[in-house]
Amino acid sequence: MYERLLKLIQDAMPDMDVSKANENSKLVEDLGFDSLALMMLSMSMEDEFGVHFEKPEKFETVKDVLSYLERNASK
Amino acid sequence: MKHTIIIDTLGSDNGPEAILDGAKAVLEKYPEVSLTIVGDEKIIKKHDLDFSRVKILHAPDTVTNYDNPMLSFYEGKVVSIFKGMEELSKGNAIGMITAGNSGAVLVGAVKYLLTPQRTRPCLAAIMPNTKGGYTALVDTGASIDVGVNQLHEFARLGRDFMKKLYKIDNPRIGLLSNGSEPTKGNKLVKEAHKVFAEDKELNFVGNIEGNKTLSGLCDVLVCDGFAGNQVLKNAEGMAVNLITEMVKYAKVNHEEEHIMPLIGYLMKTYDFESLGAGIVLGIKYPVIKCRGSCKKEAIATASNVLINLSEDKNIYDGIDDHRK
Repeated sequence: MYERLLKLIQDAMPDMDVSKANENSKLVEDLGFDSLALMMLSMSMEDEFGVHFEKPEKFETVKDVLSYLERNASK
Repeated sequence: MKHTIIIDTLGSDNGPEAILDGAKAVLEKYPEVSLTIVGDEKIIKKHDLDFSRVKILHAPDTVTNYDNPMLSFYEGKVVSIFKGMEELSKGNAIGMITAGNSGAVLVGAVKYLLTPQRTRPCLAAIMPNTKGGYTALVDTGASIDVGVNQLHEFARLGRDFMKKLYKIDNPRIGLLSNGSEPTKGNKLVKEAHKVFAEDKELNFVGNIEGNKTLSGLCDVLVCDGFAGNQVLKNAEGMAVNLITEMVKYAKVNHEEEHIMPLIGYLMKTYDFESLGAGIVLGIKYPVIKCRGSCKKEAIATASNVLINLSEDKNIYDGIDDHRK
Protein backbone atom coordinates (compact mmCIF):
# COMPACT_ATOMS: atom_id res chain seq x y z
CA MET A 1 0.00 0.00 0.00
CA TYR A 2 2.83 2.39 0.87
CA GLU A 3 4.48 1.92 -2.52
CA ARG A 4 1.18 2.48 -4.32
CA LEU A 5 0.62 5.64 -2.32
CA LEU A 6 4.11 6.91 -3.13
CA LYS A 7 3.35 6.44 -6.82
CA LEU A 8 0.24 8.62 -6.47
CA ILE A 9 2.21 11.22 -4.51
CA GLN A 10 4.76 11.29 -7.31
CA ASP A 11 1.99 11.77 -9.89
CA ALA A 12 0.57 14.69 -7.93
CA MET A 13 4.00 16.22 -7.35
CA PRO A 14 6.09 15.43 -10.45
CA ASP A 15 9.06 17.43 -9.19
CA MET A 16 9.31 15.75 -5.83
CA ASP A 17 12.04 13.25 -5.06
CA VAL A 18 9.91 10.52 -3.50
CA SER A 19 12.97 8.68 -2.29
CA LYS A 20 13.27 11.44 0.30
CA ALA A 21 9.74 10.90 1.56
CA ASN A 22 8.94 8.73 4.53
CA GLU A 23 5.90 8.02 6.66
CA ASN A 24 6.61 11.00 8.89
CA SER A 25 6.97 13.47 6.01
CA LYS A 26 4.49 16.33 6.22
CA LEU A 27 2.58 16.72 2.99
CA VAL A 28 2.62 20.51 2.89
CA GLU A 29 5.75 21.51 4.82
CA ASP A 30 8.08 18.70 3.72
CA LEU A 31 6.74 17.55 0.39
CA GLY A 32 5.50 20.90 -0.92
CA PHE A 33 1.87 19.94 -1.52
CA ASP A 34 -0.49 22.76 -2.45
CA SER A 35 -4.29 22.55 -2.52
CA LEU A 36 -4.34 21.42 -6.14
CA ALA A 37 -1.89 18.60 -5.43
CA LEU A 38 -3.93 17.52 -2.41
CA MET A 39 -7.03 17.44 -4.56
CA MET A 40 -5.22 15.42 -7.23
CA LEU A 41 -4.00 12.97 -4.61
CA SER A 42 -7.54 12.58 -3.25
CA MET A 43 -8.96 11.89 -6.70
CA SER A 44 -6.19 9.39 -7.44
CA MET A 45 -6.80 7.60 -4.15
CA GLU A 46 -10.49 7.25 -4.96
CA ASP A 47 -9.58 5.45 -8.18
CA GLU A 48 -6.64 3.46 -6.89
CA PHE A 49 -7.94 2.39 -3.49
CA GLY A 50 -11.72 2.61 -3.90
CA VAL A 51 -12.15 5.17 -1.13
CA HIS A 52 -14.65 8.02 -1.35
CA PHE A 53 -14.18 11.39 0.25
CA GLU A 54 -17.39 13.00 1.49
CA LYS A 55 -15.46 15.77 3.22
CA PRO A 56 -11.86 16.99 3.18
CA GLU A 57 -9.67 14.84 5.40
CA LYS A 58 -7.02 16.55 7.47
CA PHE A 59 -3.94 14.69 6.33
CA GLU A 60 -0.83 16.16 7.85
CA THR A 61 1.65 13.39 7.20
CA VAL A 62 2.07 10.46 4.83
CA LYS A 63 1.33 8.25 7.83
CA ASP A 64 -2.08 9.95 8.25
CA VAL A 65 -2.91 9.08 4.66
CA LEU A 66 -1.78 5.49 5.11
CA SER A 67 -3.84 5.09 8.28
CA TYR A 68 -6.89 6.40 6.46
CA LEU A 69 -6.32 3.99 3.59
CA GLU A 70 -5.83 1.04 5.92
CA ARG A 71 -9.23 1.79 7.48
CA ASN A 72 -11.14 2.58 4.29
CA ALA A 73 -9.53 1.10 1.19
CA SER A 74 -11.60 -1.45 -0.69
CA LYS A 75 -9.01 -2.25 -3.36
CA MET B 1 -28.28 22.07 -32.40
CA LYS B 2 -24.75 21.63 -33.60
CA HIS B 3 -22.98 22.74 -30.45
CA THR B 4 -23.79 23.12 -26.78
CA ILE B 5 -21.76 25.46 -24.61
CA ILE B 6 -21.95 25.59 -20.82
CA ILE B 7 -21.93 29.08 -19.34
CA ASP B 8 -21.45 29.62 -15.62
CA THR B 9 -23.22 32.84 -14.60
CA LEU B 10 -21.89 33.19 -11.06
CA GLY B 11 -18.69 34.54 -9.56
CA SER B 12 -18.05 37.47 -11.88
CA ASP B 13 -17.42 40.99 -10.58
CA ASN B 14 -20.29 42.39 -12.64
CA GLY B 15 -22.88 39.91 -11.45
CA PRO B 16 -24.82 37.27 -13.38
CA GLU B 17 -26.54 39.87 -15.56
CA ALA B 18 -23.29 40.71 -17.36
CA ILE B 19 -22.71 37.04 -18.13
CA LEU B 20 -26.32 36.58 -19.19
CA ASP B 21 -25.93 39.53 -21.57
CA GLY B 22 -23.03 37.57 -23.01
CA ALA B 23 -25.19 34.44 -23.26
CA LYS B 24 -27.78 36.45 -25.17
CA ALA B 25 -25.13 37.73 -27.55
CA VAL B 26 -23.94 34.17 -28.16
CA LEU B 27 -27.45 32.96 -28.97
CA GLU B 28 -27.96 35.83 -31.38
CA LYS B 29 -24.62 35.43 -33.09
CA TYR B 30 -24.55 31.64 -33.39
CA PRO B 31 -27.93 30.18 -34.43
CA GLU B 32 -26.47 26.66 -34.36
CA VAL B 33 -25.50 26.93 -30.69
CA SER B 34 -27.52 25.95 -27.66
CA LEU B 35 -26.52 26.85 -24.12
CA THR B 36 -26.54 25.15 -20.78
CA ILE B 37 -26.64 28.04 -18.35
CA VAL B 38 -25.61 27.34 -14.78
CA GLY B 39 -26.52 29.53 -11.82
CA ASP B 40 -29.53 30.82 -9.95
CA GLU B 41 -32.56 29.67 -11.91
CA LYS B 42 -34.69 32.63 -10.79
CA ILE B 43 -32.17 35.16 -12.08
CA ILE B 44 -31.58 33.29 -15.32
CA LYS B 45 -35.32 33.02 -16.06
CA LYS B 46 -35.77 36.77 -15.64
CA HIS B 47 -33.31 37.50 -18.41
CA ASP B 48 -34.38 38.11 -21.99
CA LEU B 49 -33.11 34.92 -23.68
CA ASP B 50 -34.31 32.53 -26.34
CA PHE B 51 -35.18 29.77 -23.86
CA SER B 52 -35.96 27.31 -26.65
CA ARG B 53 -32.17 26.96 -26.96
CA VAL B 54 -31.34 27.13 -23.28
CA LYS B 55 -31.15 24.46 -20.62
CA ILE B 56 -30.86 25.75 -17.07
CA LEU B 57 -28.87 23.98 -14.37
CA HIS B 58 -29.85 25.40 -11.00
CA ALA B 59 -26.73 25.94 -8.89
CA PRO B 60 -27.13 29.08 -6.77
CA ASP B 61 -23.88 28.91 -4.81
CA THR B 62 -20.53 30.39 -5.66
CA VAL B 63 -16.95 30.36 -4.40
CA THR B 64 -15.71 33.79 -3.38
CA ASN B 65 -12.09 34.91 -3.23
CA TYR B 66 -12.26 34.48 0.54
CA ASP B 67 -13.37 30.84 0.35
CA ASN B 68 -11.11 27.82 0.20
CA PRO B 69 -12.13 26.23 -3.12
CA MET B 70 -11.39 22.69 -1.93
CA LEU B 71 -13.47 23.12 1.23
CA SER B 72 -16.24 24.69 -0.85
CA PHE B 73 -16.31 21.53 -2.91
CA TYR B 74 -17.13 19.39 0.10
CA GLU B 75 -19.43 21.79 1.94
CA GLY B 76 -22.56 20.46 0.30
CA LYS B 77 -23.33 23.70 -1.50
CA VAL B 78 -24.47 23.57 -5.09
CA VAL B 79 -21.63 25.56 -6.62
CA SER B 80 -22.17 26.65 -10.20
CA ILE B 81 -18.58 26.07 -11.36
CA PHE B 82 -18.59 22.49 -10.08
CA LYS B 83 -22.09 21.80 -11.42
CA GLY B 84 -21.05 23.04 -14.84
CA MET B 85 -17.89 20.95 -14.87
CA GLU B 86 -19.79 17.87 -13.78
CA GLU B 87 -22.09 18.42 -16.77
CA LEU B 88 -19.11 18.95 -19.05
CA SER B 89 -17.50 15.73 -17.83
CA LYS B 90 -20.47 13.80 -19.23
CA GLY B 91 -19.55 14.99 -22.70
CA ASN B 92 -22.75 17.03 -23.01
CA ALA B 93 -21.05 20.16 -24.35
CA ILE B 94 -18.08 21.31 -26.39
CA GLY B 95 -16.72 23.35 -23.50
CA MET B 96 -17.46 25.65 -20.62
CA ILE B 97 -17.04 29.36 -19.93
CA THR B 98 -16.74 30.78 -16.43
CA ALA B 99 -15.66 34.04 -14.83
CA GLY B 100 -15.63 32.50 -11.37
CA ASN B 101 -12.88 31.86 -8.85
CA SER B 102 -9.70 30.52 -10.51
CA GLY B 103 -8.94 28.16 -7.64
CA ALA B 104 -12.41 26.68 -7.89
CA VAL B 105 -11.97 26.25 -11.64
CA LEU B 106 -8.83 24.21 -11.02
CA VAL B 107 -10.37 22.16 -8.21
CA GLY B 108 -13.34 21.39 -10.45
CA ALA B 109 -11.02 20.52 -13.32
CA VAL B 110 -9.14 18.06 -11.12
CA LYS B 111 -12.34 16.53 -9.79
CA TYR B 112 -14.17 16.14 -13.07
CA LEU B 113 -11.88 16.64 -16.04
CA LEU B 114 -8.52 14.99 -15.35
CA THR B 115 -7.03 13.09 -18.27
CA PRO B 116 -6.09 9.41 -17.90
CA GLN B 117 -2.47 10.59 -17.66
CA ARG B 118 -3.47 12.66 -14.62
CA THR B 119 -1.80 15.76 -15.96
CA ARG B 120 -1.87 18.62 -13.48
CA PRO B 121 -3.94 21.40 -15.10
CA CYS B 122 -2.43 24.79 -15.83
CA LEU B 123 -3.71 28.13 -17.08
CA ALA B 124 -2.69 29.65 -20.40
CA ALA B 125 -3.30 33.26 -21.41
CA ILE B 126 -3.16 34.41 -25.00
CA MET B 127 -1.32 37.69 -25.46
CA PRO B 128 -1.16 39.71 -28.69
CA ASN B 129 2.43 40.21 -29.85
CA THR B 130 4.02 42.92 -31.97
CA LYS B 131 4.59 40.53 -34.89
CA GLY B 132 0.83 40.40 -35.44
CA GLY B 133 0.47 36.98 -33.85
CA TYR B 134 -0.23 35.65 -30.39
CA THR B 135 1.89 34.20 -27.63
CA ALA B 136 0.55 31.75 -25.07
CA LEU B 137 1.80 32.46 -21.58
CA VAL B 138 1.87 29.27 -19.52
CA ASP B 139 1.29 29.13 -16.52
CA THR B 140 -0.58 32.22 -15.33
CA GLY B 141 -1.34 31.14 -11.80
CA ALA B 142 -2.38 27.51 -11.40
CA SER B 143 0.93 26.41 -9.90
CA ILE B 144 2.89 28.95 -7.88
CA ASP B 145 5.78 26.74 -6.76
CA VAL B 146 6.94 24.42 -9.49
CA GLY B 147 9.93 22.29 -10.42
CA VAL B 148 11.63 21.50 -13.69
CA ASN B 149 9.31 18.64 -14.58
CA GLN B 150 6.31 20.87 -14.17
CA LEU B 151 7.81 23.60 -16.36
CA HIS B 152 8.61 20.94 -18.94
CA GLU B 153 4.97 19.83 -18.83
CA PHE B 154 3.83 23.45 -19.31
CA ALA B 155 6.04 23.66 -22.40
CA ARG B 156 4.55 20.51 -23.90
CA LEU B 157 0.96 21.50 -23.12
CA GLY B 158 1.55 24.99 -24.53
CA ARG B 159 3.12 23.56 -27.66
CA ASP B 160 0.17 21.20 -28.28
CA PHE B 161 -2.27 24.00 -27.60
CA MET B 162 -0.71 26.42 -30.11
CA LYS B 163 -0.33 23.62 -32.65
CA LYS B 164 -4.00 22.76 -32.45
CA LEU B 165 -5.46 26.23 -32.20
CA TYR B 166 -3.21 28.25 -34.49
CA LYS B 167 -2.12 25.47 -36.82
CA ILE B 168 1.53 26.27 -36.08
CA ASP B 169 3.58 23.25 -37.16
CA ASN B 170 6.35 23.60 -34.65
CA PRO B 171 5.57 26.26 -32.04
CA ARG B 172 8.58 28.13 -30.70
CA ILE B 173 9.01 27.69 -26.97
CA GLY B 174 10.60 30.40 -24.83
CA LEU B 175 11.51 30.35 -21.17
CA LEU B 176 10.96 33.49 -19.09
CA SER B 177 14.21 34.61 -17.48
CA ASN B 178 16.14 37.68 -16.42
CA GLY B 179 18.58 37.37 -19.30
CA SER B 180 18.69 35.75 -22.71
CA GLU B 181 21.88 33.76 -22.03
CA PRO B 182 21.50 30.13 -20.83
CA THR B 183 23.50 31.02 -17.72
CA LYS B 184 20.90 33.59 -16.63
CA GLY B 185 18.00 32.85 -14.32
CA ASN B 186 17.43 31.35 -10.91
CA LYS B 187 18.33 27.74 -10.19
CA LEU B 188 15.00 26.49 -11.51
CA VAL B 189 15.21 28.40 -14.79
CA LYS B 190 18.81 27.33 -15.43
CA GLU B 191 17.86 23.69 -14.89
CA ALA B 192 14.77 24.07 -17.05
CA HIS B 193 16.85 25.62 -19.82
CA LYS B 194 19.01 22.49 -19.96
CA VAL B 195 16.01 20.15 -20.00
CA PHE B 196 14.20 22.15 -22.69
CA ALA B 197 17.32 22.29 -24.85
CA GLU B 198 17.78 18.51 -24.61
CA ASP B 199 14.17 17.78 -25.58
CA LYS B 200 14.33 17.31 -29.35
CA GLU B 201 10.54 17.45 -29.59
CA LEU B 202 10.53 21.05 -28.35
CA ASN B 203 11.40 23.90 -30.66
CA PHE B 204 13.15 25.70 -27.82
CA VAL B 205 14.31 29.20 -28.75
CA GLY B 206 15.93 30.00 -25.41
CA ASN B 207 15.36 32.46 -22.62
CA ILE B 208 13.05 35.42 -23.12
CA GLU B 209 13.41 38.53 -20.98
CA GLY B 210 10.46 40.33 -19.44
CA ASN B 211 10.66 43.25 -21.86
CA LYS B 212 10.35 40.84 -24.82
CA THR B 213 7.26 38.95 -23.71
CA LEU B 214 5.10 40.70 -26.33
CA SER B 215 7.76 40.77 -29.05
CA GLY B 216 6.67 37.61 -30.83
CA LEU B 217 9.99 35.85 -30.29
CA CYS B 218 8.15 32.72 -29.23
CA ASP B 219 4.70 31.17 -29.57
CA VAL B 220 4.69 29.77 -26.04
CA LEU B 221 6.31 31.50 -23.09
CA VAL B 222 6.85 29.18 -20.14
CA CYS B 223 7.15 30.26 -16.52
CA ASP B 224 5.86 29.38 -13.08
CA GLY B 225 2.38 30.55 -12.13
CA PHE B 226 3.66 33.29 -9.84
CA ALA B 227 5.79 34.94 -12.52
CA GLY B 228 3.17 34.35 -15.20
CA ASN B 229 0.51 36.08 -13.20
CA GLN B 230 2.80 39.07 -12.69
CA VAL B 231 3.67 39.25 -16.40
CA LEU B 232 0.03 39.15 -17.39
CA LYS B 233 -1.15 41.76 -14.92
CA ASN B 234 1.84 44.00 -15.53
CA ALA B 235 1.18 43.94 -19.28
CA GLU B 236 -2.45 44.78 -18.74
CA GLY B 237 -1.62 47.53 -16.26
CA MET B 238 1.00 49.04 -18.53
CA ALA B 239 -1.38 49.03 -21.51
CA VAL B 240 -4.04 50.81 -19.45
CA ASN B 241 -1.53 53.37 -18.12
CA LEU B 242 -0.16 54.19 -21.56
CA ILE B 243 -3.60 54.61 -23.05
CA THR B 244 -4.71 56.79 -20.11
CA GLU B 245 -1.66 59.03 -20.54
CA MET B 246 -2.29 59.33 -24.28
CA VAL B 247 -5.90 60.33 -23.70
CA LYS B 248 -4.76 62.98 -21.20
CA TYR B 249 -2.17 64.29 -23.65
CA ALA B 250 -4.66 64.42 -26.49
CA LYS B 251 -7.15 66.40 -24.42
CA VAL B 252 -4.66 68.89 -22.98
CA ASN B 253 -3.11 69.55 -26.39
CA HIS B 254 -6.36 69.41 -28.36
CA GLU B 255 -4.98 66.57 -30.46
CA GLU B 256 -7.98 64.25 -30.16
CA GLU B 257 -8.56 64.14 -33.89
CA HIS B 258 -5.10 62.75 -34.58
CA ILE B 259 -4.48 60.67 -31.52
CA MET B 260 -7.86 59.08 -30.80
CA PRO B 261 -7.72 56.69 -33.82
CA LEU B 262 -4.38 55.41 -32.53
CA ILE B 263 -5.82 55.01 -29.05
CA GLY B 264 -8.73 53.08 -30.51
CA TYR B 265 -6.29 50.79 -32.30
CA LEU B 266 -4.29 50.17 -29.13
CA MET B 267 -7.39 49.57 -27.06
CA LYS B 268 -8.52 46.90 -29.50
CA THR B 269 -5.09 45.31 -29.74
CA TYR B 270 -4.48 45.15 -26.02
CA ASP B 271 -8.03 44.50 -24.94
CA PHE B 272 -7.30 41.32 -23.02
CA GLU B 273 -10.98 40.82 -22.40
CA SER B 274 -11.96 40.36 -26.00
CA LEU B 275 -9.19 37.81 -26.54
CA GLY B 276 -11.08 35.18 -24.61
CA ALA B 277 -9.10 35.23 -21.36
CA GLY B 278 -7.37 32.13 -20.00
CA ILE B 279 -7.74 28.54 -21.05
CA VAL B 280 -7.26 25.59 -18.75
CA LEU B 281 -4.77 23.19 -20.34
CA GLY B 282 -4.23 19.52 -19.59
CA ILE B 283 -7.87 18.49 -19.11
CA LYS B 284 -10.39 16.42 -21.08
CA TYR B 285 -12.63 19.23 -22.34
CA PRO B 286 -11.88 22.92 -22.86
CA VAL B 287 -12.71 25.36 -20.09
CA ILE B 288 -12.24 29.09 -20.63
CA LYS B 289 -11.71 31.19 -17.55
CA CYS B 290 -12.72 34.77 -18.29
CA ARG B 291 -11.59 37.60 -16.06
CA GLY B 292 -13.81 38.37 -13.12
CA SER B 293 -14.51 41.80 -14.59
CA CYS B 294 -15.45 40.46 -18.00
CA LYS B 295 -18.39 41.76 -19.99
CA LYS B 296 -20.61 40.24 -22.64
CA GLU B 297 -18.01 40.60 -25.41
CA ALA B 298 -15.68 38.23 -23.58
CA ILE B 299 -18.38 35.57 -23.35
CA ALA B 300 -19.07 35.87 -27.08
CA THR B 301 -15.36 35.66 -27.91
CA ALA B 302 -14.88 32.67 -25.63
CA SER B 303 -17.81 30.92 -27.32
CA ASN B 304 -16.22 31.55 -30.69
CA VAL B 305 -13.00 29.98 -29.44
CA LEU B 306 -14.86 26.88 -28.22
CA ILE B 307 -16.70 26.51 -31.53
CA ASN B 308 -13.48 26.81 -33.51
CA LEU B 309 -11.82 24.32 -31.19
CA SER B 310 -14.57 21.77 -31.70
CA GLU B 311 -14.48 22.26 -35.46
CA ASP B 312 -10.69 22.13 -35.57
CA LYS B 313 -10.49 25.64 -37.00
CA ASN B 314 -7.94 28.29 -36.26
CA ILE B 315 -8.88 29.66 -32.87
CA TYR B 316 -9.63 33.18 -34.03
CA ASP B 317 -11.49 32.40 -37.26
CA GLY B 318 -14.59 34.55 -37.22
CA ILE B 319 -13.07 37.19 -34.98
CA ASP B 320 -12.15 40.46 -36.60
CA ASP B 321 -8.41 40.87 -36.12
CA HIS B 322 -7.93 44.52 -36.99
CA ARG B 323 -4.14 44.16 -37.10
CA LYS B 324 -4.20 42.07 -40.28
